[in-house]
Amino acid sequence: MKITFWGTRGSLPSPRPGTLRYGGNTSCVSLRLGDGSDVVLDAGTGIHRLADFGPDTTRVDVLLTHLHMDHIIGLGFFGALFQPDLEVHLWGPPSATLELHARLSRYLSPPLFPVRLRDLPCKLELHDAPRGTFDLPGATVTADLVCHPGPTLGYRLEADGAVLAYVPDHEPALADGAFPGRADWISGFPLMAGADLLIHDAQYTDEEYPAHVGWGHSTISQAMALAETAEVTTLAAFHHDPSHNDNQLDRLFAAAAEERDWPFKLAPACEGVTLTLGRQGVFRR
Amino acid sequence: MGHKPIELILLRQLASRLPLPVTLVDAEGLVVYINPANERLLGLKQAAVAEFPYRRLHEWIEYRHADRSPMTYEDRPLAVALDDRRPHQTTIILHGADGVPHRVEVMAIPLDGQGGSLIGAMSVFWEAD
Repeated sequence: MKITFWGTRGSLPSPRPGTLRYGGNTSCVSLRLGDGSDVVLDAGTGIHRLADFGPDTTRVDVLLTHLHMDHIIGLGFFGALFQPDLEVHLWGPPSATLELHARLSRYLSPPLFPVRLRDLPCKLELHDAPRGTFDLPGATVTADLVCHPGPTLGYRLEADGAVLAYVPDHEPALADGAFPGRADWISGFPLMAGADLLIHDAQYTDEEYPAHVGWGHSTISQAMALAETAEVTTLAAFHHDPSHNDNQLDRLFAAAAEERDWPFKLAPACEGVTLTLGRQGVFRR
Repeated sequence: MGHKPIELILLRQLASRLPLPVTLVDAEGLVVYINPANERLLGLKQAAVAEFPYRRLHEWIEYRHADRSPMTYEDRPLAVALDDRRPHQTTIILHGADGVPHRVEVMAIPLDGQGGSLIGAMSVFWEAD
């Protein structure tokens, strides 16, 4: 499984000289699976850099964690949607009131966007992702709701003998004041348990968090504690705060890594980086 | 113990900030959370009751109807919400584990998760006097 980070920034696109290394584009990660299948995780501005898929590609699955703008704003600029022969499956969180088509159409229709979903040239299918396990070509996916404002999913993908957990927007410290406390009170915990690679929200510092309780995000130290509790192999800290520049992030992640001898590897997500995940672990290309 | 559904996790977060006493039980009838206000009402600590069968809470708490007659498990509002899957409100007299009597109004509701499955029940108390 090849994993490429196209957008790692949280909340707001933040392109500026000081964010070049970690990246300024919002959430988007692509997966190329061992059988050649393509899966895209979220459709932030980073999705624009995903080039058109080649002639051998017949299907792309896009798993949306939720419909906040930073996770769907790039959707209208996703080249696959404009390839007539390509089958594109969009999966999003279930809602008690509206189907995914109706919710996405709020953005993908005038006046916010000139092209409507029905006018896209690709063969488009929309799915409310079930809470549970389902199969995609080349991968088994498990989805469940996690703590974040509005319906928000985390995903666990099992493919090529490896497990990837993708939980980019998550406030795990809700519910149990003694976080990490008991794992059975941590939302989405079964998705993350034992993963080879956990891509997880690490937006705030400890000092910033008290002013943002309930906003749906983690601190770097919470992400570290969660990775330890979930016994993952590698943590890709993700969804970097728009106000944090590269030098600040370097310092924050270095301090977190040096705090003690962690039983996992910390690999902060950087835009443009490709990792290879398989039975032998995680490798950076 | 199973992993808690997100609905219970979010309800616990809400209840932890409320001044009203709140009890959460899961679909198996285990007490999963009492908030600080309920700890004071019941004279019990969350750590003592976590995962304890709600059916057996009378081992610590004495439940009586408003006319002071004994209240069976089946009559307790939370039991009605959980077992009959319907809301129930009444006035009860309970003696907490610390022996202190309280006359309280109780409202209990079943908790249906997305998809309609029962994930537990919740009760909220008001001091009646």
